[in-house]
Amino acid sequence: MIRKTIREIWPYVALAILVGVFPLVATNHYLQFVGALVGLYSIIALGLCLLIGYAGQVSLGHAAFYGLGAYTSAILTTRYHVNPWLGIVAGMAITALVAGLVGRPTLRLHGHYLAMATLGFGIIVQIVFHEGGDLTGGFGGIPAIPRFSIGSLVFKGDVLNFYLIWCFVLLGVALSSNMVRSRMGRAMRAIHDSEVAAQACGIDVAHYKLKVFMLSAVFASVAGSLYAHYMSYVSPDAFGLAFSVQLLVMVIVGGSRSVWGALLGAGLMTAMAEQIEKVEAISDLSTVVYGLLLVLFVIFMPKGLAGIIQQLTGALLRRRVGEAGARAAS
Amino acid sequence: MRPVPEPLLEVLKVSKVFDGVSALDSVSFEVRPGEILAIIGPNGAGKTTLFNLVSRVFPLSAGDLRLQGISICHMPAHRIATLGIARTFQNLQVFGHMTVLENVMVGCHIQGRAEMLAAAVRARSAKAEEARLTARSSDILHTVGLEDRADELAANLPVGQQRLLEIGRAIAMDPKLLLLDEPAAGLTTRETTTLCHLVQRVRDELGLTVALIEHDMSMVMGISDRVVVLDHGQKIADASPNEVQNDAKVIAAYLGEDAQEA
Repeated sequence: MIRKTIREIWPYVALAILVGVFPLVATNHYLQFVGALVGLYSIIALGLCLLIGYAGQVSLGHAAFYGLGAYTSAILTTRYHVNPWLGIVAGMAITALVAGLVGRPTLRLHGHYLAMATLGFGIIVQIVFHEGGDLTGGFGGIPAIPRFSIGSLVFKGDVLNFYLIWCFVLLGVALSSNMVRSRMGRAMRAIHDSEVAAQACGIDVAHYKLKVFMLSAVFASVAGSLYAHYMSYVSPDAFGLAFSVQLLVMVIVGGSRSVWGALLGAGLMTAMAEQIEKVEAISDLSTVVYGLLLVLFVIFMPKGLAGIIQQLTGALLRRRVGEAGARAAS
Repeated sequence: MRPVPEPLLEVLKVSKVFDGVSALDSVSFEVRPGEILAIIGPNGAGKTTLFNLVSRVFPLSAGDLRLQGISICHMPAHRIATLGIARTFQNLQVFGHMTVLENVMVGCHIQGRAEMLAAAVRARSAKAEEARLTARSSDILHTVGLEDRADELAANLPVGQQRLLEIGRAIAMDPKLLLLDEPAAGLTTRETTTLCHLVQRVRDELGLTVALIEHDMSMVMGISDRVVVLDHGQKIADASPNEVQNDAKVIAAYLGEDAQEA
């Protein structure tokens, strides 16, 4: 029992220590900024991971949900002087509603209609950001977004925001891994293994797919709100299709059947993106690299890096269990 | 209340046509509460098609299906399951990436209420429910004799145990009607005997009504109260096991198949 608890808790402890130490070791502002970005992307990737790994659906519009959260927060706090914390909640509510409207008709159909619907949705949202006039600030975006604050503590600068964002990441990991092991998580995994048997067990497949889709959109929205108050500036460029694809690559590379895969993918891909941008000789190099990674991982490593790590660490254990099982069977 | 018990399931002139080919042609019969009904017939007679219509894997072409008087033929599959029809699959459909215990817990799905938020924050109600479902699922594993495989991945079980697991998962739903699609296929003689006892216990102790498709005649004749025989999509007999064995049409149907195969 105690051993089981330790096994469940150690990844959180390790991550918490890593997060706590990082800004102290990496005193460079740029690194702290990248660290905070990895946190934001991890939150979105977590949600996307639930959608891909558990509902078996692909979204090409998560950058738009990220943007929806960011703009809701930005508009409410700058135009209507709403408290930034309330802005997060408002963003979550609006995003959930919009995701419900997009997902409801498409998730009743078999196949990857959601990918197509979200692709179109993402493009429309970006147009709305561009053409929103005074409300969205058009191409120029919205500047002077207030910071988060608790009492007299204002979350200004990279370090404080880094900690704030990573608190949300830890919370997100805990919530989603609880969910995965719950009645709903079991229902989702059952659907993944056999849709016909899941339905025969009384599971409303379309209902659960929609729920997971809405949840994953809400994760993106929270990241968007955090982003808006951290940068204190939003513009439409950050929320385009290219970023949606990048998020998808993060989840596929990291591994969609483990919540830790999302973090792994977000970290690696962000680090890589920063390196690629330094290569100025080849323009659009990132597009080529992402495409290549996506194809290679889907074909050769569908469980992603998390799957490989699990295989390596689990190989020994499983061999022992396998032997015991064979003995029991004979 | 009527003096005569109403049928649990009524199959009323049910037909199914696949791309112009008739799989079931105006088949009618009823399943009475508390009985073990066997549905037999040569290969391609339409037995599994019938189960797939009842559990709404696909829609019927004509006719009606009524569970305790309520028409279910326009309901989605998960709704029919909620109303009390559970089934197993001839081509096994266990949830392979989940443990044996988790498979049965999925069977308990409709008895749970905990939704996303409660589960995510591990609310006390969700935890209590989880404990209740786990205990119930362990009991059911005991009933079907898989208690020592609880933590094994379902895909790693041999065929015989996967069949038992599917029955356990179906019982977990606490259904009124249990549909078993060739539960003895791929089982050894000893496993079949265990299975027969299990089916009888499910009926006697849990009070379920059972309809089963089976090719193993000793099993059919041994445990069923009544036998419906299908051939080429039509019902050719509906009687007690003894009567069916001596029915000229039934013998002809089976001999005809043998003659064609030879």
